[in-house]
Formats: sequence, C-alpha cells, structure tokens
Amino acid sequence: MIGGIVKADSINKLFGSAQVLKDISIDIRAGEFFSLLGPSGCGKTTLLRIIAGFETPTSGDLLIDAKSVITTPANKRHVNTVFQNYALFPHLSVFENVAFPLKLRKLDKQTIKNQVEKYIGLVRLEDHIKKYPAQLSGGQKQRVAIARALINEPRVLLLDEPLSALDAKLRHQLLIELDRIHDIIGITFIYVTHDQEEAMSVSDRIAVMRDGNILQIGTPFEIYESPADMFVANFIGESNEIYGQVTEIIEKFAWITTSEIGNVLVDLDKPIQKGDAISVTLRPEKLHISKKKPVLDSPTRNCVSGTVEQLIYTGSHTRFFVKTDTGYVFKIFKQHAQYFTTEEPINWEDRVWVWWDADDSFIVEVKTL
Amino acid sequence: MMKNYGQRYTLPLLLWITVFFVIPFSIIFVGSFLKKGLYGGFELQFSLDAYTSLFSNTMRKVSINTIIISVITTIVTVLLALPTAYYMARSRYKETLLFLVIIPFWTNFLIRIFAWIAILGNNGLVNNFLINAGLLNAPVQLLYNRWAVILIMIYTSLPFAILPLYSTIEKFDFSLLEAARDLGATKPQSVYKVLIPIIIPGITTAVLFTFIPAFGNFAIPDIVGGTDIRMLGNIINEKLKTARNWPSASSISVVLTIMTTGAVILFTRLTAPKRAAQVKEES
Repeated sequence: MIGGIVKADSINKLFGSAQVLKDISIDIRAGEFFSLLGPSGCGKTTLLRIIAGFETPTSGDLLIDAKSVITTPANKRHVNTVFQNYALFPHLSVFENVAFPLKLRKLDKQTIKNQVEKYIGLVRLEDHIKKYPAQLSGGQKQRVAIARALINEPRVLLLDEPLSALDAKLRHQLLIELDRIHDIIGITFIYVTHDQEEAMSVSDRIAVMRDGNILQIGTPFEIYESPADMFVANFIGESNEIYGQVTEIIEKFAWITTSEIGNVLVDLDKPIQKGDAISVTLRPEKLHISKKKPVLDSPTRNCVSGTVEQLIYTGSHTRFFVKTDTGYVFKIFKQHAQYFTTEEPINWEDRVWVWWDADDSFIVEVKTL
Repeated sequence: MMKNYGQRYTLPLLLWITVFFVIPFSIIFVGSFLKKGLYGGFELQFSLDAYTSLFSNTMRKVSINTIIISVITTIVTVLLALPTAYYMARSRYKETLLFLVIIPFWTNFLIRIFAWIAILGNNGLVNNFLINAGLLNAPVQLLYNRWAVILIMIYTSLPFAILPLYSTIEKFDFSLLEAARDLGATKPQSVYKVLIPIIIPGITTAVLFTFIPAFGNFAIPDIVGGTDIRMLGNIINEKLKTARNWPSASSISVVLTIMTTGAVILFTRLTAPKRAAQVKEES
C-alpha cells in the first residue's frame, strides 16, 4: 500500500481575531514520514485538525491525492488520527476498540476478527486483546490507538503528539515501533510534536512552525545543519549565536568583526558582501576545547580563550560553558570517546582554549546594510 | 495486611436503613394482614381482607393509570433532560445554568404546583392570552386531566433528571466523539455508540430519580388531576384519611413498594455496564 499525497494550499485559520495559521502551503509526499514541529501555540495541532477534518480553514484549500477535501466531513476522509490522550472508548475492550471502525462498516464477523487480529499483532498486543482501556498502561493504550487508527487502512495517518504522555524510555521504544510500523504499512504519516529529538529521529522531512508560520521545511539534516533562521537554529538542538559585520572576503571565506569575540573567520554558505550584518550559528559539538594552546594546523581555524564557568557531566559527553574575557559564553559539547585520555582533565575556573574550523559554522541570516 | 474497617464504617448506614425503612415497612407489612379498627388503626386479628379488596375495577384502573403516567413522565423527562444536561456540560456558563436548574428548589413544592394553576387555569395566563389574542372565545379546560398531571410531574422531576445526567456528561471526554467521527462514525452514530453507553450510569440514576417519586406521587394528581385522575398514592391517602381503613392503605403500599422495587431491579439489570469496564486502573 502506498500513502496519500497531502497538499495544503495557502491555508489561513482564524479563531475570532487570532490568526492561528498564516498562509500555510505544504506538499507532503506519498508514504512520507512528515513532522510538524514547533513550540506550543505555533498552530501545528490546528493544521493537523484541518487535515483530519475537525476544523475548516478560514481560507485556502486542502488536497488529499489531488482532490480537495475541504467539504468532506471527518468520517468520510481516508485519514485517521492517533490522539494525544489516546481517546480509547472506555466501555469497549481492546478488541472492540480496534473493531469499532469495521463494525460501523458492517463487515461480517469473521472478516472483522481476522483484521483486528492482524492489526493487534502489528502493535504486539495479542496478550491484552480482552482487556479494557482502564487495565492498560500508557504505552499499551497508545498501541491500541495506533491499531484502531490503522485498521480502516487510511491513506494518511495523523499523529497528534502521541508520545507526550509517556516517559522517556517508553517514548524511545514507541518511536522505533512507529518507524517500524511506517516501514511495514507504507502510508503517509503526519506527526505533530514539540519535541525536536522525536521529530529528528523518525522523520523523512520536518516543517518547523512558529506563530502560525512555517519557518523551514527540510530533512532533519538540512534543518540541523542549515537552519533557515536563528529561531530554527535554537529550537533544533543547541547553538552558539554569533553576530557580526563582514569586513573582508577572501575566496571562499569571510572575516567578520564581532563586538564579543573579535574577528572571526566564516565560510561562505550564502552569498554575502562586504559590510553586511550577518548572524552565524555554531553547533556546540563542533567546537574543540583544551587547556593547552592548540597548534592550528589549518589557516581556517578560529581560536579564542576563556574560563570554564560551568561544566555538566552527562555520561556520554560533557557540556562546558566557557566565558571569554569579553563576556561571551560558548557552549561546547565534548564527546567521551575513550575512558583513558592523555589529555589533562578540565575543571571549573580553568583557563581553556576554544577553537573551531571556519567550515563548521553556518551563516543563518544576512542583512545588507 | 491492613485490617478491613469497611464493616465498621457501614454501621451508620445500617442504622439509618433500619430506622427509616425496615421498621416502618415491617409495620406496614404486618398491618396489611390485620383487620381494620373501627376508627382507623389496626385490630390485632389476622385477615386477608385488605388484599382481596385489591382486586376491584377501581384498583385496576388506578394501577394502569399510575403506570401510564409515571412511564410517560419518566420517558419525556429523561429525553428532555439529556440534551439539556449535554448543553449545560459543554456551555461556557456551566455554573450559571446549574444555578438556574437549582433555583426552583427554593420554593415549596406545593406552591410550585399551585403556580401551575395560575398558568393553566380558566382564568390563567394561557387562557387569558389566547382569549385576548382573539384565538379563543371561551377558556379551554387545561387542568384536571391526565396531561396536566404528566406536564407538572415532568416539571417537578426535571431537575432530578438533569443533575445526575449533567454530572456524568460533565466528566465525559468529548474527544471520544471526535475519535468516533475520525473512525468513520456519523454524528448520530457517535452519540449512540459512544456517548450514550458511557453515560448509562447517569441515565439510570435520572430514570430512577424520576420514576420512583412519580410512581408514588399523590400531591400532583390531587391538586391538578381532578376527580377522574387518581394514582395509587391517592388511593392510599383516601383509604387512610377518609375510609379510615389502615390495613387496606397498608396493602396498597406493599404492592406499590414491590412494583417500584421490581421496576428498579429490572431497569438496573438492563442497563448494567459490563463488569470488566468498571475495573480500576491497575497501576
């Protein structure tokens, strides 16, 4: 089975005078695992509810498989939803919950039984088929909700923050499970979340939303490595922001002068001109830190010194917060690749050197003055 | 293991039921098998007279009347209360609406019935309005018939049906209706396949709170029912006060209690939710 193509065409949505969605256009490909990612109140759930048929857009069009579905009621769309609070029917058993859509279609008993068993098997709940929702754990409830949403064989499955009520371990487990189900079923998944890690780990593409706008649509790699603006850079992972003015351009690189860390060499991810004001993001894991002054073997390296203000040991890596003499605080994540290191350990208040390659920064915004 | 204090805590309830139900009912039950005293009361002599006198035409007519009136009252009341309670539970003005439902309790029950005479009487609001509007020449008799009794019974029992329904619907998770729609249910299907089964406990309470008082009612048919419309409650009242036949009043009371209890058991059996669904969360 192949999934449906979902196309949002300049969708606007107003609740009273509040504009929740502003001219949203997205093309979601058949069979894609597509995430709508953003902080609460960004409009992602409203967009999902419009696709499900629970809300009507104020203007704009929604097409599923190239057919406008704006006037199609929710129960007639080939789209099913997995709700945040599971929305299982408390008066029905696991079997009856999953069978609910088929019973509405008045299929014969044997067909219903076979189908229900197939989908309960898919979510691995065979042992709980006779239980009632009140007897299930959160993770099990969500599996029932997934099976129930899939049994109608929809073209598109909508998932509204399906894992937000679960604890971290279970969330990771169910994410892998969802990915597996997506691979087996092959239909289009539209996944709403405010958790960037969830979105990054399972999505083919992500739309980052804020205040009813889509800021960027791209693969997890594109969104992380080349964010469209500073909001995206900070929302997805962590980032060191550097603001400066271009003073000199040499081939593929440019010198910028900053008020906080002096002159910095950046590579030209975007066309810029001398005099432009630019903002640059620098991912913490791409910075290096050491107590000894590094021997810069490449001419394209930046190097600054500072004092360790704070360090957080997380097991897999350590997060350093290094304050330069001019007051700028760098975030640096250092991976622990080996147990024994020849390097001298870094402690609080130590003087350290921070350096990075000009290639590892990314120019986010350019303002021509 | 914890000691089970359950029994100790139910003791007050046991006392309550004994004092206010078991003892009075036993007196009535025993009394129904005695001879009537000359000026009321009982004479301590076994007799089945009170029961044989039940098999009369009047009693049959009154019993049927009682059943018809209380069943119609119950059905109409619950059908009116359901959408009302649903609307209240979903409204932004829950508290205000709840308040409005409770307000009639501030006025005495009898006064509220007499107020209906002022509305439906020959000189009442409705007749006066219709005559002044030129739609009628002479007043129409709206009171003193079965429909007046049913109307006023519905009016008095509505709050008792709305309140339990409201409290169950208020706890209902409305996203379940969306889920049902999402899974292919039409709007009516989502109501009778999801909403109704889940609020069955509220409906049961509403039915019982309407049916039981209606079945034993005597004040309403007394005031607005005229001479024709009598219910079992009226007969008990007459036997006790006018005929001074206490055993007879007792035997009708026994029959009334048995009929009510039977109806309650039958109805709760029919609507009993599945046991397993009631199992508490395991964690």
